[in-house]
Amino acid sequence: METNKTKEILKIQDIRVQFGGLSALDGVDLTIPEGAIFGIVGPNGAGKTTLFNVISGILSPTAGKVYFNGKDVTGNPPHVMAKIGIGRTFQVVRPFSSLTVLDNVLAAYGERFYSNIVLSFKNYRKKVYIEEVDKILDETGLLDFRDRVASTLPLGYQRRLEIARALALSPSVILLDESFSGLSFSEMDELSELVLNLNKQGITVLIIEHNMPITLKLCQTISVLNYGKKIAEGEPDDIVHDPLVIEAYLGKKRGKV
Amino acid sequence: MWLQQLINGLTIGGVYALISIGLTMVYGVLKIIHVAHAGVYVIGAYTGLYTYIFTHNFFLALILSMAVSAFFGVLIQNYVYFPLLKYPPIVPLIASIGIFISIEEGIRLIFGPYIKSFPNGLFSERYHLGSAYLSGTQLTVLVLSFVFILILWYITERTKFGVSLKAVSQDMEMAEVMSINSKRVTLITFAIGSALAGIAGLLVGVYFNSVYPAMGDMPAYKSLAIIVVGGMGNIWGTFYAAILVGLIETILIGTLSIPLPRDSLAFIFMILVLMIKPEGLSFLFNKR
Amino acid sequence: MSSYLVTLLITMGMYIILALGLNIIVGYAGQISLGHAAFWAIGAYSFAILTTKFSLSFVLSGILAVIITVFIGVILGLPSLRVKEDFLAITTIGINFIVQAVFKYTPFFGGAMGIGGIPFPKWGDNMFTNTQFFILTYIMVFFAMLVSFIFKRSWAGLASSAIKDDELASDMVGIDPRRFKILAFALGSAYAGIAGILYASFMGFISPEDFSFAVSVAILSMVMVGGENTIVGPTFGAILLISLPEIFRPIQDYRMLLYGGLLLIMMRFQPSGFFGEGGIVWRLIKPKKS
Repeated sequence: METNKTKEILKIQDIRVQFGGLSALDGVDLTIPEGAIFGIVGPNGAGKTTLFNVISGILSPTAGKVYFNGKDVTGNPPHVMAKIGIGRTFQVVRPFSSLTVLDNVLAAYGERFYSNIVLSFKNYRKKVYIEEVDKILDETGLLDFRDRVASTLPLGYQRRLEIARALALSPSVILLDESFSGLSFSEMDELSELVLNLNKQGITVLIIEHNMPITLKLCQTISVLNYGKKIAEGEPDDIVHDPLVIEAYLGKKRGKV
Repeated sequence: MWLQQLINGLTIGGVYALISIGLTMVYGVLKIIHVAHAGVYVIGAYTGLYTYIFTHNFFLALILSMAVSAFFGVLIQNYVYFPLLKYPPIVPLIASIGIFISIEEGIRLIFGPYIKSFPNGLFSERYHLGSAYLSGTQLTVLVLSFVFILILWYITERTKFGVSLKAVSQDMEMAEVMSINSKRVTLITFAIGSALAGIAGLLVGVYFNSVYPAMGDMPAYKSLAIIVVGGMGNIWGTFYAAILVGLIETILIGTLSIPLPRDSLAFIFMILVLMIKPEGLSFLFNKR
Repeated sequence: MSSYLVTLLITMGMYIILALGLNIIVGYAGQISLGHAAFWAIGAYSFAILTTKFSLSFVLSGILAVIITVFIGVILGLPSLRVKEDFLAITTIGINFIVQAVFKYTPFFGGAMGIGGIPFPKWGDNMFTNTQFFILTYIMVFFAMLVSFIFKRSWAGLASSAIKDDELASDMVGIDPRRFKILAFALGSAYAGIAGILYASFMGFISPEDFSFAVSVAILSMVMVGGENTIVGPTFGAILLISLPEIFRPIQDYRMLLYGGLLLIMMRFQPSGFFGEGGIVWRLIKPKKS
């Protein structure tokens, strides 16, 4: 997709999250252009997952705003965020473990029926729906596993399953929370390709990742968080040379010794 | 009049505390709703009763009812709860109800369904305290309840086991990492909690001078309400909740004679607390 | 059929409906409820009051009784939005005791004496025979199974399973957990309401003791021993737990011990029940799973 019109799809304004006296996010601003692959990096405890939790509605921020397509969506519950087109995956995978792969994705596909009580009582295993979901399973490489119970899948496929589930929402943004961790090299390559493919279809991708090579390769823009604050933002090349970023990472290493 | 009700309320509250604290300790370590705890309480009452009938030694009755109750508690945790930890909480809960029914029925079949009482003359003295009076049994129950709660306080707050217990209650895996033997801690917890239930059974038997198979029914469910009010797993929250429920029951029904169902009061109180503070009274203790 | 057998089968039918209703709450939506007898009581008492005090017809009273039960069931299901698992289990126990106490201590509901003179249904001008009542009961059982079947394969059923597996993840894929938990309580209450009507009408007399906590335990045991999250499981559970006391009538004194022992042994060695996922019956039918 051509991104000559740099419309912002997601705007995060001065987000603060406090747990008790601790500040997990301390005034973070982000602007994510439509169609981007946007990376968020930072040491452990920097507040990356907290940020995702705010965007996806799991946490209400103590202060600040989240705008989606120009509309204020701050504090909406997750199912509302899902409905307007924000899908996400979890750092520790959370498939519907007793359901099959197909049913896992159907459960998300059903989002368009759930708010109508009459439609809610219709049979969900209809050919039309299954065909739609099969397309998603095919795209994410899960078609061979569609009748397997989710809990029996290897981790790499559970991660794909979470992406497939997010895709079934026909999202305009998906948030990938360390989807690459725990994968083999070949799995990482396949997943990178999938991410690029989704992006080509116009889906904006937000990535939290520890694996720097992958982040640098995939993302057009990277934001660096440390102690709940944004300390740098820019293109991958600039980020790796930013003294603040180097300090944040090296400082952490020094702390270990 | 008020002093009398206060004494009566404290006596009942003290016994509630004994049985509920054991329940809350068990919940703390295993996150299981141990309904069968009230079965252990009945076992304690019968052990104490028969020991006393045969020996006329109240001290021995107390020791034996603690020992036998602790034995059954450990048996239940080792052979039923431990293997069921990996299942959803409803599975051990139903198993626990099954154990409770089996214990009560087993006792009924062995000892008969009738109310049994202690041989006469056990603590028959009376003490006057201003306008109120204390019977010997009441004094015994009151003093022993608080003595055992004090001992428990010492164990949980001043010993190494107490520290381990708190660690395991917080997070069993973390406790293992800190090289605490969580299985041993759980066993000791069950032993202590069940011993407390046994004492409670014996004391209630003495207080009302009646021991019968179904005597555990009401404590089984009332103590659940009490531990929710106290904040599930929180020992001192449960202690205060038990005293509070004992006092409320005695004062509302005894003094003000409000026509409320005595045995539902604890649950009404519980639902009120849940609506206001879902974490129960534990918020009073977490700040430290 | 002998009158003893008909009575037994009608009782069984009521419990099948109750167990299937509770299965929607526990088995499909994963919400622990240990107070199902309270919903049953509300159905029975609503019907009893409407027919005896307001002299409404059987059918009208029945419809209103179900509506009232669903309405109150939804209100009593609200704690499930706030508290989870163990807290919910204890809260529902509390609800059982409180509802029972309300009926017991309110003179309007007949107090401890209960309510008598509840009418039997009529066929034209004639009272139903027991056999006709039996047929009515099993028509209701059929509908209970049908609705369970439709629910399980519907979007709502899928959403409920997702909530049961992982509430947060289900929220994240567009499922509003509150909506479907309340729906489960509403449906479960509707079942209990129907069973309540059948019970009140068949017995002609109800009292608070009929709906004790022990009854809630029995209904939940039917669901769990039979195998939750299935239709055949709770049905079988109800048949088993209702007929066992009859089978063991000669050793009546040991009935409760056997019941307690059955709960313990099933949960200890076969937690998914007879017909649940990986239950004992499936393993006997097809010993090797490919």
